[in-house]
Amino acid sequence: MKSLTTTLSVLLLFGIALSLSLVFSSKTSEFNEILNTKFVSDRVYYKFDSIASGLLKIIRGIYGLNVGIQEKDFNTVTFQETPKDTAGYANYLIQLSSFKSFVEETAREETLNSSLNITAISERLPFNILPYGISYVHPSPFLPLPLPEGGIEFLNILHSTSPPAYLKNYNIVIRVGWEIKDITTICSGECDCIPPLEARNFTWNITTIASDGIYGSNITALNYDDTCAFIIRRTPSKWLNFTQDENRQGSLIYRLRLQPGDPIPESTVSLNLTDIQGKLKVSLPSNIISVKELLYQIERNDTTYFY
Amino acid sequence: MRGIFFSLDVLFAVIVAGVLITGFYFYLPRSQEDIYPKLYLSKIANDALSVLDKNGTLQTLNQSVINNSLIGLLPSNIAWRLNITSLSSPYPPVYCSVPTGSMISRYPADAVEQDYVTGRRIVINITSATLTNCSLAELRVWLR
Repeated sequence: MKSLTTTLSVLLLFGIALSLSLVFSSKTSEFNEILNTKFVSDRVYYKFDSIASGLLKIIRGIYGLNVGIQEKDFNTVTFQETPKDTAGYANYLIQLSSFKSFVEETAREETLNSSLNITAISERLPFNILPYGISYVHPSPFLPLPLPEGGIEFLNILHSTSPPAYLKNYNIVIRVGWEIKDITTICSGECDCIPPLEARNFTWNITTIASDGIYGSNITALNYDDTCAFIIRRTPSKWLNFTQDENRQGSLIYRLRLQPGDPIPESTVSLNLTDIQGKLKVSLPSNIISVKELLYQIERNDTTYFY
Repeated sequence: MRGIFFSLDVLFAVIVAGVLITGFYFYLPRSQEDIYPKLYLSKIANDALSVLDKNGTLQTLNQSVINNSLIGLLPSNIAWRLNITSLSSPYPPVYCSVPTGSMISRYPADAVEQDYVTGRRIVINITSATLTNCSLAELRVWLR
């Protein structure tokens, strides 16, 4: 009887040990699966980050558009660029396309597919300012095309929400190759350009840096639904035109008219916005970069942020 | 009768022991698998490449500059092998289309690769608004 008890006890102990090792093994397998998924997710993340970093370098270094933000008192977002002429824009597109080919073909990794949707940043090169819902976009078609009245249009800033109560003012600095002594200004519409200015929803503060000095700042006060135009003109064939129409509340539409051979002015546009809940971010359009791991089916399909 | 009983008892004991030993043999090694080193090495390799990309070291494509930075950046218990393959052609219509060679370095020089993990980074060079070079940096790391 004693030996039977001993045998059964030993058997039971071994059974418990085996069961525990089974449970432990099963839990470890689950844990390792989680770690494997984490490992693959990291691969996807690093690949995405690598592509996003290259894309931002191309926009900064080849297109020549810089974005800055400042979070102090107001939230300020600044866009600085010298618009491309037709040849410069075409060259930017070719280089963007070459980068896409490199990412999708040459740098392709086994089980990791990457794709770059350059259409979204070729047509209007839009930037989204979050959490405000404001877009900084270029005209469509992007290429500087003759306007009906002559010249080219190359910059729009639009509000996608209405009314844009958090917009306080635009600071605009245009660096032109003209002389100040020759320029005249025209203010028309419902806005107020002549001091003392009436209190309005927001202002445009426009400064022109010319070849012989600095002109401005010219302040225009306007309401979100005003129709307004402020024109800085040198000759009938050379001018800067800032407008808001009542259908695009809080917008600034900047048109530039130049003649062949004129240097294209550099523009710096800053938006001052009241601080609201949410982190201030500037992003490219959504879903421009996609990285997918084929075995685990882990995918990141997202945009990239300047800030 | 007693002999048969003992024989069956021994047979039963052997079968039970066999099942238990086989079970331990299969399950214990599985429970001891450790993927942490792989994860750790992956983060080290990719983070190192990100740092070198963001501070402009990889863009130099200078072997000694990159090697010195990596030696300073990576923990001393890590051995590594870096391979950078580049494509160039700074002229339209196609950029980054012509292979311009690769750069391989290893630290320590006599390190034998074992259980390595590879980090990868796309590196581009832009000079005077022109995409002059596209490279793929691959950093293999393993524990020394």
